[in-house]
Amino acid sequence: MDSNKKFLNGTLNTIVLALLKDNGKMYGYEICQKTKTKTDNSILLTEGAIYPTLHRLEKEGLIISSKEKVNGRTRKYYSINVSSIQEVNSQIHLLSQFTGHLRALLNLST
Amino acid sequence: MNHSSEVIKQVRELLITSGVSEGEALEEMVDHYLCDIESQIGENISPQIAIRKTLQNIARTDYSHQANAKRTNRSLLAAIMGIMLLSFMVYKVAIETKDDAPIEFVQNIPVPHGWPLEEAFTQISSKFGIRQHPILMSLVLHKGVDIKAKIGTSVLATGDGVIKETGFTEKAGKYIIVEHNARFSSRFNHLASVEVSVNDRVFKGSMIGKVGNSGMSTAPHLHFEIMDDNQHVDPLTYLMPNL
Repeated sequence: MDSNKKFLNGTLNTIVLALLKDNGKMYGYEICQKTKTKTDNSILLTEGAIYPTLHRLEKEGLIISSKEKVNGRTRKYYSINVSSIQEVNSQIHLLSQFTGHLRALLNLST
Repeated sequence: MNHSSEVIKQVRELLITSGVSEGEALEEMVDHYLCDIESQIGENISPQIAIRKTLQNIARTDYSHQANAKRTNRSLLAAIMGIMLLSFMVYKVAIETKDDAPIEFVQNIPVPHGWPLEEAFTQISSKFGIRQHPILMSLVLHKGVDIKAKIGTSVLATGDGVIKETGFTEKAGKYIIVEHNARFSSRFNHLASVEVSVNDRVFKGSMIGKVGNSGMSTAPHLHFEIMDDNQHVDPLTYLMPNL
C-alpha cells in the first residue's frame, strides 16, 4: 500500500479525471469503490486522499460539482467541466504516454 | 436505505471531534461514511457491526491536517485556557481548605474522596489534562484519570450518593454517573458490567460495577472523572487510596 501511495502522489489527479470522464458524474465514495474494484482491491483510496484531490480539481476549474438529496443527506457529485475538456484530455494523454515510457524502461511487454 | 438520524448524528459528531470543520466538507464526509456502512451491509455484515467498524475507522483517522489548522489551533488554545482556569480553581480550593489532598469538604459540602477500585495500589496509566488521544490521535482534554486494572476488578463509589445515570456510548463504553450532592458527581467509564440501577442509593465503598475494556479503549482500565459544579477537575487531587 505504501508504495502505491508513493506512485499515486503525482498521478491521482489524472486518475480521478479519467474516471470522471469515463463514468460521467460520480461522488467521492463511488470513486474509491471504482478504483478498488478496477485494481483488484490493490489501490484503496482513503477519504484523506480523494476529497482534497476533488476539491483541488474543482478549484482549478477542471471539474464541477452538484448536490443531490439522497436518503436524507446531501451527496456531492463531481463531473468534468466541459469547458476544460481539452486540458483534461491532454492530462490523461500525458499520463498514458508516461505509463508507456515506464513500461519500456522496465522492460515490460505492452 | 435510510439510516436512523441517530447514526447520522453519531458519524457527524465523531467527525467533528476528529477535527473536520463543520460545513460542506463535513456533509461530504458524512455521506462518505454512511455509504461505507451501506456497502458493508450490502455484503451481509450486520448493521451494528458495520456501524461500529465505520465509527472505529473514523476514530482512527486524523483529519486535523486537512485544512482545519485554524480550527485545531483555536480548540487547542481554548483547551489550554480551560486547563489553566481549572488548575487555578483547584489551586484556589486547595488554598481555601489549607490542607493537602485529599480534600474532604469544600464550604461544608462533602467531597467524594474514596479510591474507586477495590485494589489500593494500581498504576495511573493516563493523568488528567491535555494529551494525545490514544485512538483519535488528536490533542484533547483528558477529563479524568485512567487507572490500570484487571477486567472484573470491583469499581467502588468514592462517596455517598445516588446513581444518576448508567448506559453505553461508543466512546465511553458502559458507564455510571454517581451524583454525590448538589455540587459533586463522579463518572466511571469503560466498564465490563454495571451493577447498579438509576436512583439506587450508594455509599462510599459500595461496589457499583466491574472494570472492563468497553467503548473506545485500548486496554482494560477504569476511566474516572470528578465533576465539581459540572466542571471536570483532576480526580487525583481528591482521591486517597484505601490503605
